[in-house]
Amino acid sequence: MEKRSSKSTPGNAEKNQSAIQESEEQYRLIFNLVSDAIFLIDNETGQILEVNKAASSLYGYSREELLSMNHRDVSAEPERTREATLKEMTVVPLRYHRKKDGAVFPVEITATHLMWKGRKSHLAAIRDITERNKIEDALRKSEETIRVITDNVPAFVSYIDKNGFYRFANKRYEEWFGIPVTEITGKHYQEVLGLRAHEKVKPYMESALSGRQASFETLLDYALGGERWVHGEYIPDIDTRRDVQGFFAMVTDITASKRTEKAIRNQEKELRSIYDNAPLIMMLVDKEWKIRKTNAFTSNFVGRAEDETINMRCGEALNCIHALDSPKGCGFGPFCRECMLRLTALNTIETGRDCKEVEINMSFSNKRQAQSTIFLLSTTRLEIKGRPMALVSMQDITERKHAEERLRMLLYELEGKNRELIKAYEELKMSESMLVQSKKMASLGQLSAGIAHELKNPLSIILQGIAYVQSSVEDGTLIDACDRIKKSAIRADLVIQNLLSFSRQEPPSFTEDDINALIEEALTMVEHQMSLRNIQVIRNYFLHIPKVRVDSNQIKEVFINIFINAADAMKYGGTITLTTKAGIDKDGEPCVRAVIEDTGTGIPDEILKNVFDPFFTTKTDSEGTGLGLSITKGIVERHHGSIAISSEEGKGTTVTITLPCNPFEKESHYNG
Amino acid sequence: MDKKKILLIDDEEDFCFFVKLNLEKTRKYQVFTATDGMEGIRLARQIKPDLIFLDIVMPNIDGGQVAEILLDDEPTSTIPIVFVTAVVKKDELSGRGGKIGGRDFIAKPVKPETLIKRIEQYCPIQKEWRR
Repeated sequence: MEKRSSKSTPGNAEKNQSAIQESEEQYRLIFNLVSDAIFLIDNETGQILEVNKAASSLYGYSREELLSMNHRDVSAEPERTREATLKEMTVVPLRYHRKKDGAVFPVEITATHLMWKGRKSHLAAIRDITERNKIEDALRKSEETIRVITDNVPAFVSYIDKNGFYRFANKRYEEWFGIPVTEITGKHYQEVLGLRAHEKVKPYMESALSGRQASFETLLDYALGGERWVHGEYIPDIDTRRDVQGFFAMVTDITASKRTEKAIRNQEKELRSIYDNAPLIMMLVDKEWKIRKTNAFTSNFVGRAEDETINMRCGEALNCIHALDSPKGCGFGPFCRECMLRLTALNTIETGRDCKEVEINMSFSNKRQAQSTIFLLSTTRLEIKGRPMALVSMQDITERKHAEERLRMLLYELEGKNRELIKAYEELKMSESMLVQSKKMASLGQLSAGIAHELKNPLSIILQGIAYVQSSVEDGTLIDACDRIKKSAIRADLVIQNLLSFSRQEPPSFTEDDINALIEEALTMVEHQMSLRNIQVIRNYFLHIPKVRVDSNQIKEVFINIFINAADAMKYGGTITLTTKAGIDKDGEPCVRAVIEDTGTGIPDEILKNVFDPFFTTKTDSEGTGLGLSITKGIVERHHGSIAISSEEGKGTTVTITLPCNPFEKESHYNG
Repeated sequence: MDKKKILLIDDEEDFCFFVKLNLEKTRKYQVFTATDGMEGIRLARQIKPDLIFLDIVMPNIDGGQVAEILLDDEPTSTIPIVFVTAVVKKDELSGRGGKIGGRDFIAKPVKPETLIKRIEQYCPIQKEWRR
């Protein structure tokens, strides 16, 4: 302006003056028309030299007021205003100014530095950017919000523009592609996804870019290795002019749920096959006692298709014989109140208490025949679509039960047989030992017979010889000597006789006899000996004792033997008690018992078991042959009786002889 | 009175010796002895004794066979035979009625008195038979 004014000539001054005025008018018009506030400011003083109308209206001061003010007066940051002036900055993007009413607002300043009336000045165009800032703030905030949201969404969220470039990608992309989000935005999706993935999603992208939303599931490579199942949604971004600007991509990693889904499907298949193939009746029943579902086995068992059984009551489906007891059907008859199946299942539904393997008995009509069946019943409560139900499983164990019963019977029989076997074995063992014993005895018998014969002849000679010598001499000493020799020979003969009677074991010749009488007869044989030893005899005879069939001589020998033993045990006196009684022996046959008790020295335990052995004797003098009790036992056994000895050292011995009344019964018993 | 003729057939020579001494000492009996069955049969036929004491267990031919032969033979069939044996025991005398095959017997060892008692028991009957 200065230049122009300097160029004006005095001749044209008026013309120039009017031209200048005109031009100034025009500038002022423009100056005042501009929407930005414009200040002309002296750089050095900061004095406001000129303002336009916009400035007055923006700051609330009149032109006159402003022209009297310093530019720092309108600034909220006067120091920075000064600094910018000194640096002659041309653009200040943000500064805060203050209005007359004190309100502070953001401004953008554009400055033009110039010389005005010889002084350094600048024209500052100030634009109120309050609104713009507000919009920008809102935009930024909304973007931040979006980022925060998208970053935390468990999905890959991005925006791809119509040219295929990423404009936005959430943080999840970093995980997937292994590169920062900032590197993803601005890149073409082909570069980001890679060729393989791109091939797979290309059709969906194309669809989205043509304005159609695309939805898909596919298997994609994963940056960290392996493949992942994803679900993708491509939502086209369509502007107001219906042009597609790009699309939003929303991709979810569904690998885990895919896996779970597969596992569930497999499990379901597995359960289904178990359910259908289990050899059990399985029914799902509701609380109205109606069937909701059955397995293949049930259909087979009841002879109805599954569809047919649905809505039937259990008893009706199963052909329970009580299903038709009431016109209202299963569950209403008199027996239904006690039906274990119904009560258990309904109780499970009501209380939730499961029931495990309860044995129940039910009768079904099968081909018009009532058939009693035993089941193992289990129930479990299930909630299906919000309705409580019971899964009823029933295993037919009728066959098993019957088999068990048969088995039990067999076992019982087997045990019986086993007992018999054991008994037979014991008898066999006993008879074996008896056989061994009798063989031993037989050979002993043969031997004894031989020995007896061989001894009897020399004894005969000795007796004959002694008799001759005795009758031929008159010397008393010689006669006495002969007498002693004779006695010894006779005793030797006695031993031989005992040996023979032991070894002979001849069968007894039976006659009916009274045991009391036989005991008395035997007693007379030893009475003398007993009275010499001061032994008292007590008789406890049972007077009505039944008769026994015995060989009286042999039985007398038995008692004599026992009396002699008793007397020998009571060298200094004592009591012998004789008791007889009638009874039943171990085979249930009538028998008589004779009990001979003495108060003698008794028999030590270690000897007791040997007393029946032949040649066993405790008698140290020459009186015993050791055959007495073995002969006795042989006789009693030939009578099918038994002999038992119990003894207590120092107190005495008790001998019990049991003889069957009729040994022939035994004979046939044993032979039979 | 004639002495009764007694024949003792026993393989025990010493037994025969003492029996002969004891019986003859009574002066009532004349005793012949044989220690062998065949010799006994021969003697029996020859002397026709009033009574024969016959041992059972003997070598070559036993007492049973001797008795059979004597009984089968008319001249000796009526002679009483009393077995004297070591095989049986005294008790069996009474138990079995003292018979073997219907014949009387004496168990060894035997005292002279027993033999005499038996001779006295048989010989009077023998006399009656003879009559």
